[in-house]
Amino acid sequence: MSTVEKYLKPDVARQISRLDLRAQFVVKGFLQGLHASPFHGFSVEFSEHRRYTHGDDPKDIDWLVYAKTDKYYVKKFEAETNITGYLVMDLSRSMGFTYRQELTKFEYGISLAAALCYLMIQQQDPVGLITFDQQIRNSLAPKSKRTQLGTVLSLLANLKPEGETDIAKSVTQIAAMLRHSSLVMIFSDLLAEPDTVLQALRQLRHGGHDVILFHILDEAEVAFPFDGLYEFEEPESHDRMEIDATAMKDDYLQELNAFRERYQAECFQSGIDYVPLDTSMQFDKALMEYLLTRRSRR
Amino acid sequence: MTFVNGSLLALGSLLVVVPVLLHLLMKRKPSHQVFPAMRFLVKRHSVNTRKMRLRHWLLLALRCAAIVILAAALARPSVASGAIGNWLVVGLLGSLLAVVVVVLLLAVTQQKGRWLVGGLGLLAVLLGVGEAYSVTKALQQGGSVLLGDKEQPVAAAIVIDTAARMQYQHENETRLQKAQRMASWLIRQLPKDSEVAVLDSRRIGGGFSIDLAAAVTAVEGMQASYGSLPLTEICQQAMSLLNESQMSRKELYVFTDLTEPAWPTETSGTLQRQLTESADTLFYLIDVGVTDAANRFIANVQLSSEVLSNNSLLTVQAEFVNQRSDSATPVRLVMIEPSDQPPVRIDGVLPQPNSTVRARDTLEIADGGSQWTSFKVAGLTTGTHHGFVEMENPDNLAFDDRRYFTVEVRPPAPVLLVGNKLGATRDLRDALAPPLLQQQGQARYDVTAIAQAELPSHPLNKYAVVCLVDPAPLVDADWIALQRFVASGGGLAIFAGRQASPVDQFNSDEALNVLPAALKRTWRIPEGTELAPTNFDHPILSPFREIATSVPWDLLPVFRHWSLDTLSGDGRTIFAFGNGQPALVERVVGDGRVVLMTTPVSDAGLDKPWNYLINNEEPWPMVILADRIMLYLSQSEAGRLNYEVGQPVRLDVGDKATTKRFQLFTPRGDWQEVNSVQGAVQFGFTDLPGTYQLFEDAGSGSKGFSVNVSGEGSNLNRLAPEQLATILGEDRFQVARDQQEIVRGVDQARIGREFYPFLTVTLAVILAIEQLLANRFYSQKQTATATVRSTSS
Repeated sequence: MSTVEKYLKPDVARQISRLDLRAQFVVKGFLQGLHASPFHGFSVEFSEHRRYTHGDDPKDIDWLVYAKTDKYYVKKFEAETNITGYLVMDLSRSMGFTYRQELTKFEYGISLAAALCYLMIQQQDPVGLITFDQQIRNSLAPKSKRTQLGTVLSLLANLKPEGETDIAKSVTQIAAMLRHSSLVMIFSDLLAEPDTVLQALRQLRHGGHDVILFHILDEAEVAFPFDGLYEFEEPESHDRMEIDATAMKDDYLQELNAFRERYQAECFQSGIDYVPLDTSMQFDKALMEYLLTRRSRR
Repeated sequence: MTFVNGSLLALGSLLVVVPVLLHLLMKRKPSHQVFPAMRFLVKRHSVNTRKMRLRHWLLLALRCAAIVILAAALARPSVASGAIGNWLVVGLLGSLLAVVVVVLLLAVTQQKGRWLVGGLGLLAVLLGVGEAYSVTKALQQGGSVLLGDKEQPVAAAIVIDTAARMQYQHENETRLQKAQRMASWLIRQLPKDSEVAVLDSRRIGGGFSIDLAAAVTAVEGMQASYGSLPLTEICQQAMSLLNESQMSRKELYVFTDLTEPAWPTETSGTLQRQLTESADTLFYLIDVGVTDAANRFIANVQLSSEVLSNNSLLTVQAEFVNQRSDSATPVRLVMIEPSDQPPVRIDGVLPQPNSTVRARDTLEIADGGSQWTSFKVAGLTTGTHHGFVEMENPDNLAFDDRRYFTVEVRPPAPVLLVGNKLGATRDLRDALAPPLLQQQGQARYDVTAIAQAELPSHPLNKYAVVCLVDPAPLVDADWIALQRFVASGGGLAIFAGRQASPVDQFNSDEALNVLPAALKRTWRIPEGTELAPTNFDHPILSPFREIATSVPWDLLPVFRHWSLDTLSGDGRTIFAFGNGQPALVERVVGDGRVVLMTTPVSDAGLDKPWNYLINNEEPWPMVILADRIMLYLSQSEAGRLNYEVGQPVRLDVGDKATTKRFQLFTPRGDWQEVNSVQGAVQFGFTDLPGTYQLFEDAGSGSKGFSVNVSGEGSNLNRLAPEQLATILGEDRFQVARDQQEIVRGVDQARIGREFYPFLTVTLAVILAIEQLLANRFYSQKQTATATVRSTSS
């Protein structure tokens, strides 16, 4: 199985095709939610000019305007695209953790990202990729070409979750970077101070972006299957703590649930889709769950 | 509490430091685990750390306790059997205290409510105080017994019941023989240099034997005793002896058939107290009895009278009892021929005296029942006669198959009735010597009646008793003569009536030397009163003792009687009328007695009679009363002839003036010399049942008496265990039936009750808890190693 196909399991594409996602996405601007965008199709009626930015197709450069102003402008057409999606991947070391599952949180995240990428390429929506740890590390401009899928997935496949992370800072950077209203899909374990992260997310949402927050935890982080005396080590800070896991289990689960519920509530208030996941869930099922939820919210 | 391996306890306890050191130095490393979501653990970490620390200490405590208990178990602690209960209480309280302390610590750790922690703390303090008290009490009670060393010398008291019922034959030996055999064996088993005291049912006091061989000899020489003391009293003596001993270990062995007569409840209090005070003294009952022993016995023999007049009929009533034996019981009465010659042993054997079977009967007695039967014997001549009632078929217990009796046949006592008028004495004469009996020669009294006028000229010294029946005032000479008669041993009865007036003349100075009190005046009771005896201890009233409530005194009304002045110094009232005035008074004058009745017995047929004592439908109470008065005054009632074993005997032999020497022959044929004192022989050692004969000179005839064993001594009903526990105290004794049980019981008692099994169980429980907790704390079930790996393939 190739690296790409590894993340594009046939079952995933097949199930999504069956749901006729394309029609729902394109026609009703599903992914933009409350975003009052006009209907975007392949009609090519001129709408406006805008500055050329990296990633724009050079063939769209309006050479007449260039002649007049000596600056590159591209012609923008109505419904040039339905929605631009960004896959935002957390590269923190903690994402590389699994206790007893096949996939680490990171692997699980990129599988999910790949599926979404495929889905959007299929509907000719441009998809970009942003990775971050303490700041943005990689940025792939959104394109809707079929080759984009290979580009995104090959980049994803070469990523390694190795660094320390600063989710809030990175999200803030992303909010500043994105100019057009986009669909930002964040894949992270969110193991950081929630106040700043939520603040950054709200900022991103305020920028007019639709945000889907895929909160990915390891199955062991959700179920806490430990029993007896343990010394736990935090992979990023390397802090250590000796505990009686048996006695701590209930307390841990209470704390975790409180954490998730807080994100759930805050995201709901901000209009962010919060999708709690763990690595024991089939990622395609997680995607299905998301899409169904998304559809039911319309 | 003592230890078989005491050194192991100290050495083993030192090993407690091992887990402590291990805990401090070799703290177990927890499993290492990378865990990104550690932030969720931080908040609760401090509480969890306290829990962990508590668990560590709990584990450490359990491991230390396990080592101490293992060391204690190997040291084999033991306590006296009687103190085991106290130590179990200590263990129980200790366990409760441990549980409460653990719960208290958990409550403190988990920051439970103040009330809960306070309550648990209070409970822990109370349990701690209780535990301290229990330990102190247990140590005080069980401190002095030396346990663990079976060969340590002991002070032992061997008590063997030698009561007559121990002669019960079973499996070719008597109970006494079995007890002797086992006791001899037991003494030989005692550790060398032990002190042994041997006591039987006869002995009070005694001391420790010189050595074990002497004790065995004493045991083997024991014989059945008929006048035995109950074992409760013998055991009291044995306990006192043991308490005097300096030996640290004391043991009391009682060989008994565990029958009811051996352990009377009423005398058990002192023994129980001694046993409680000497809790260290081991107390064994060795049961040599037979369950459901079968026995028939004669429980009682009653004679119509011990003193008979010539030719009168002797009625012997006997009570036969059957306990689990055959119902058909042939019985007979045998009279021994009187002999002038003392019994003589021929070739060391006492020949059986000549005897005649005078009556036979066959009884059907149900199991557990009893039956009375009576035999009549006629034709007994003057003198002392011995006989016995016996069952013809022998059973397993022989001594109670025969009961002896003795009667004395005397010539009729001469009685002189003196009446103011001759007719006045008629009723009294008929009462004392009924004409029919006179004709048959069976009357008890030879009655002579004279008029008062003849009294001065009538010789009094040939009479035993003189009766003045409703006398008129006597001249001083008559009173002087009567005083002399009484002082020399005669009896004088005065029935005062209407003739005794003028009363001042009757109460002359000479009369008052004889009368118990002066007559005062006549007392009229128109509605009538009655004789009202209340205390029947006086010999005159003794026949009424058993029938006191059924005597129809109200049919014998009295309308007039004399009231009396103050009684003379030695006078006393025998009984009074219903109105409280004296009816019968007596006085001792010299060797004789004077009785004064304040109403006459001669008013039958007179106008306005003073009473209806004789002339009524039921005159028998007055007839008996008159008979007893004569018997009392003639002093014929003295001289009891039938006794129980152990009772002191007093036998009248006549002549009070001189001291005579007699030979007293026991039933075994032994004899000893005894002297008479004031006309009586006293003899204190009647320890054998049978006929005792008293000879003054060969050919002069013999007197004698019979001795029997109490019927209660034949009761072979055994005590139930709960009865025994009531008598001796719960859990204060052990019962053994054979040598193996004795060995087992003694071994256990000398070694004590070991705690080894308890400690082993406790150790197992502690190890199980330790294992459970350790598994819980250091669970290794999920040992998959977590990884943090990159997504690169």
